[in-house]
Amino acid sequence: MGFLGERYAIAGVGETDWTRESGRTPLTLAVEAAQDALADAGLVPQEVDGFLSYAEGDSADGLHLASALGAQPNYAAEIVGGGSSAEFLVATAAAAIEAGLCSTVLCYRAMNGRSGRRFGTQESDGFSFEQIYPFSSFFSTQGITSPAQHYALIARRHMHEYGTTTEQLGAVALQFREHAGRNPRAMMHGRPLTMTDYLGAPPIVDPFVLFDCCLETDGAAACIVTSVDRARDLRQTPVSVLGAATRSGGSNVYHYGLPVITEAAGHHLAPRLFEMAGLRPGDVDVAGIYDCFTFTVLIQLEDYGFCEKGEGGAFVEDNRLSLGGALPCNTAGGQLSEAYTHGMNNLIEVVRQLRGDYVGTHRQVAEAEVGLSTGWGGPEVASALLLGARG
Amino acid sequence: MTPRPLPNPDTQPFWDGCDRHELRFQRCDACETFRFYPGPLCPSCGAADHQWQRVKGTGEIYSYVVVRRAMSSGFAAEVPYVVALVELDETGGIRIPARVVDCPVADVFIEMAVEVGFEAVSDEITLPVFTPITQD
Ligand SMILES: [Zn+2]
Repeated sequence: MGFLGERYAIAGVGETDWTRESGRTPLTLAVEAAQDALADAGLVPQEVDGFLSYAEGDSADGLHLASALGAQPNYAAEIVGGGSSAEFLVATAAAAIEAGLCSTVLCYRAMNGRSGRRFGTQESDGFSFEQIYPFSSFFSTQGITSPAQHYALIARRHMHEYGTTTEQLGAVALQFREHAGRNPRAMMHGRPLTMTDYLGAPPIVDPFVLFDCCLETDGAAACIVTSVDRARDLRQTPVSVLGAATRSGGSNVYHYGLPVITEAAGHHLAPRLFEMAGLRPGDVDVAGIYDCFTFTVLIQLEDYGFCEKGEGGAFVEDNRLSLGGALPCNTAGGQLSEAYTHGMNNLIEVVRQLRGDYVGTHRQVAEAEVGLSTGWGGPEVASALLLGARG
Repeated sequence: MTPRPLPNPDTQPFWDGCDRHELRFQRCDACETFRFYPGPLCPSCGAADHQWQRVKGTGEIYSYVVVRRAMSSGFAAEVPYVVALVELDETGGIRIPARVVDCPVADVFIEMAVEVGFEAVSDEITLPVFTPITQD
């Protein structure tokens, strides 16, 4: 049962501070997040023999991080999954360990997302998405250069097909901001947001206003994957990987050509994910759902089976994503209000909730036993994990 | 600076067509399916042989955005501008991104009927753009 017999676990998590101008290199940020995760697990760098990361030409790879830490890795690789990579890394780490390539893997994402290479402005520093997406020229020449401009095309169509409203997008922004208010380390801590603020915010690209878009952050986040047996001897309660599933591309990686453009790739992998773990969406106690935009939360809720297709907007009303709601989600504030680390911070928060790190505070989700972490790399690219604490 | 297309051997015929004010797409010889974006094989049947067939360039807006804040400095002077995903007639429903011009931003809607035009943005680059088809 479960992913690789549920024999693999996240043994430690860590992160840097979240800033708009770190003044440090991505390598230094990676080192700091790695040291934080190692300390959390009770490991030294020499006990890590695998490194997995992801980047958009904006980071430091595992070879350099391992060297900086003084580790002696047997295995290092980069994953191509964009915003769905954090979960890919954990799944791939477990698979690499199972295959005997290594025994303990540090998974991380490090970037100066604000002061360095900002998403959407790459064209101006000589970098072109053409290097990644063969169809980039068709968009960039027409004035579509940023992720927000791309995803707004999908959001608009969803509104047209299902009647999704601006206020429903706003409900996601407000909820995650409320969570950030509980997290002193969140970039938007102490910056409460009302619906009036939301509706009056500067428009970015209709139908998105400023608060529909994630933060831009300098920082790094990391987690350590090893066997449950090894993790049990370490400092923290292991959080087991109960399920893992991925989707890389598909029938049309130019997803605007799909018959339906308003689905997340999650709908391809969700049945596999839940079946392997013997769980259903209703069993999830806490979720980290990839929130590069408010809108991506809505369609993932639909496509991971928390509501019917088209009802994601209605689902997020009535505070269902709050700490006491039906599906506490992005409880540290998410990428909309905590920090943007290309997904890794949401995964780390799910691990902390399942370990009960916040017990005794107003941040803990009560009786959190099953967690879901989803990554989003577009309508045809996704990965997700189901996680569970192992006492 | 406005981003320039970086044509490659797969996409060059599309841009060459634009230079001649012609909208052309690959069409599979075996199963006659149109495809976009350009590539070596037919996504429907896997065949490689194809023609670059010219289409009339009418269609309707499948989705659209209104860019209010440009992220690329080359477009800063042009906000607000509309970019639509246009579903083209005669093609079995392929969709391409393009600007909607000669139309007030607030008047654009999904399912609006549009037709292609061409706009030279430099000596070297001509882009397809779309305008509403008037009913009269
Ligand atoms: Zn064919």
